[in-house]
Amino acid sequence: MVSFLAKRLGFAVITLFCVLTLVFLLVRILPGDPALVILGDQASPESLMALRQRLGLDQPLPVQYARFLMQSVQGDLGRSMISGRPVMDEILTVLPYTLELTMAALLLGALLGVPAGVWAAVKRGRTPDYILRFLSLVGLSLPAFVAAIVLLMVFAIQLRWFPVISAGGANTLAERLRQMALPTLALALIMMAYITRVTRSAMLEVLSQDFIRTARAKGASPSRVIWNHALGNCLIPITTVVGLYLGILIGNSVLTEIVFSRPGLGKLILSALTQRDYTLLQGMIVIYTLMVVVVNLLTDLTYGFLDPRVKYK
Amino acid sequence: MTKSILTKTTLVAAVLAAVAFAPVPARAAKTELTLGAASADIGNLDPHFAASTSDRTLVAWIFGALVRFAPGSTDPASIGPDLAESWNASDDGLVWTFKLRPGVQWHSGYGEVTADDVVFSLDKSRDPKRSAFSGDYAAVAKVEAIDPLTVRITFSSRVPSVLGLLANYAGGFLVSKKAYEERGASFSRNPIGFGPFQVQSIAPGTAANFIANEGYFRGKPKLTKITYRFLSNTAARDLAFLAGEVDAAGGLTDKRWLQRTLAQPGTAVDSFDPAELAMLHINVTKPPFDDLRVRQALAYAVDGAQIADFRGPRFSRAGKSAVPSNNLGFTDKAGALPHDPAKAKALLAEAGYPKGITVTMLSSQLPSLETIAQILQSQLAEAGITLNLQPVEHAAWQQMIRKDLSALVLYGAARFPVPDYYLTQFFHSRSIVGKPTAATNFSHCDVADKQIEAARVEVDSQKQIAFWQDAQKTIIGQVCAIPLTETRDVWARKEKLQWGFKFEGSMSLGPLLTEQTYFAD
Repeated sequence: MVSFLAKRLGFAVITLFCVLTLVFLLVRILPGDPALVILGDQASPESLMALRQRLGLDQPLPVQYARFLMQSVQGDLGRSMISGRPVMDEILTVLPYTLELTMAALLLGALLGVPAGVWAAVKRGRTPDYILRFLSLVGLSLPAFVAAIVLLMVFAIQLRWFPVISAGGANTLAERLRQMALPTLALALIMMAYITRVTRSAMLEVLSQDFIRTARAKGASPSRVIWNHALGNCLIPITTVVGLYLGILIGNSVLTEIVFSRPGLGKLILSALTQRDYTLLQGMIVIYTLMVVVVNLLTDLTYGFLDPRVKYK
Repeated sequence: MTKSILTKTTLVAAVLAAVAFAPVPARAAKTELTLGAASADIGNLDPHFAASTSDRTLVAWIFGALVRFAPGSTDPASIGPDLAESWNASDDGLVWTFKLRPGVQWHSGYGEVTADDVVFSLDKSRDPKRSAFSGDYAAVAKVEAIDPLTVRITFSSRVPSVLGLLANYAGGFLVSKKAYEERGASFSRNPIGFGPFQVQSIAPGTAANFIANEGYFRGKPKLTKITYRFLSNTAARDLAFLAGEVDAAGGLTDKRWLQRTLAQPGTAVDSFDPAELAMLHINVTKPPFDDLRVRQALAYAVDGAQIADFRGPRFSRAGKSAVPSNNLGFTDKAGALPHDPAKAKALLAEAGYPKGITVTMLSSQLPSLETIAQILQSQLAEAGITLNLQPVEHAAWQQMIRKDLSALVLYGAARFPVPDYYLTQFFHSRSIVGKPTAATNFSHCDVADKQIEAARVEVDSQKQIAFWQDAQKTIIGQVCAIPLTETRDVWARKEKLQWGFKFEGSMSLGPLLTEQTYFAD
């Protein structure tokens, strides 16, 4: 277990280093002058030059790279070129928004998706199966922002159950939950579609195996066979999908954040990119990489709890 | 039992009577305003660095200046007192003395606004390290405090609009010396001014909150609180306005948006100056555009009126000259060529291109510019000119066009409404892209240098205007650039919200909130 962890952490460090270098180079290859973005097109040439000097952009690339690496090793992500706030502060301000949304969507998606998948598998080839498969296909094909706008039109404009602006200004937990409902639903729909399909196919495979027939033969009730014997053996593929998808979900939440006017990592990275905020962009990609590495590691570790046969070497 | 019923009945009756006859408090008008802005976050609220539309809008509520444009106007002739009560200039126009209003207070107890603050502020405006607009103040030789309420500004040469430089716009805004020195880098998010509203808190990516500056020298603002919501997504902003979650919101210069918005009851739309003049700048040094006939052919081929009509006549009109129409000395008789595709074809043939020409243009993916580029493409096609568009992300495009990578540049801009700014930045040879003194002269135009320079130092205002008009005619005559459209910005608001002035223009590029802004009941 310890050597497994050490190995994985070693890989994580190498991955991080490669990503750091790649990001550093990519943001600088990209045309676009941060000084021009910050000061605008009416800024005097002298002001532009002064700002480039202050940001260190007039230094040769290797010098900038060395400084960047030194800072990164010390855990210093620098300051945002646009706002002047520490990159870590910028990220920590929006991180709770992203985490609460992603976690809520994940939970809702799993709570709805797993039973739906099980039901579809049990009713294979019959109406509920077709309906669920169709719905999950719709969920997968519908772009997040379309789902988001439709949800807003129906629930915020027509029915007025939820607010359009889904963050900020909430004083009570109830108000906070009301704000979160629609964005959570928008993301959970996609999550649910994924989980339904994975659960269904995993269940179908397990249900056709010998030990299920044995369980039935020894008189276990149908529900016990499905929920204990079969589903227990499906958890590994489901967890893998959830783990992989969590990374995608955090990244993909950008459209949801934009439409629902919520702050979040996705929106922050997009504005860092359009405004050529090199330091913020670098810092955020480091954090993203860390998150993906951590989620993957956690997913691997979860296997051991779900299936005692899995050993970490 | 009976008694109990009786008691209950009496009680209910008493309560009802109390409710019915209690003095009814007059329903107070709303005093808290929520705005929806087309912006993702605060950039920089140091007014000398506020460059984005959103930041410029906000600093105009927080800060004041020596003088100010009349609220709702962008006409330099409307400039009147703000902090300065009175002023006078020396005969040669180089020494200006301003008398300050006594007792004006900075926000948050930073004390009285004094001549020292003004000196500090203007010195900061002209320092390239502490201001983005230092170039505008190159002619300022020194700023001195004569006494706590008198400031003297000496210029090394004449400038076209001294009051413009000192008005509530860009480098003209005054900052508190003490607060700036105390707060350092954090001043950009914790600014201290003496305007009608002050920053209360900023929730990154969500909202900026303002409260009234109750000690504002023109009187206590009628609004008590402002929530400025960042709603960068157009659809989300529209929906939030529709749902009544914001009282006013940044709009779209799009006909369909206007129709949709005005269809809602109780809604008004304001369109305001400065209109952004979109021009097609043509690099006159690059073949085939080094031939005047080819440039003229382009000018005959395009139809600004059609583009304006497509965008929406309520806020868009055809461009007529080398400067926007709200500029002092603008002339619509600059000689812009009419739409005539046949003439365009004939000119191309005469220049040796009987089969037409094919040109490539880097085009920004900014929706407003992209739309114009696409219409342009179809208009040019009618005259036998094939325009290949190479779409580029906006920030990348901004840098690429400054490296001379596109012979045609479609650029929209509004500037301070004195022609010196627009003409110098776009058409003076000092501003040609690639030079150390470069600004935004994409056409490499140098035909009007003399007139631009002469106007800058001319004492007689009639002669000055004559120079500016001559510059416009020369630039348009040589087709350094083709004026296409002028588009004003738009905001939607609930009719109950009254700005407190006729909202025809805003140098801060968004709604100006003053002590007079209120909700009608």
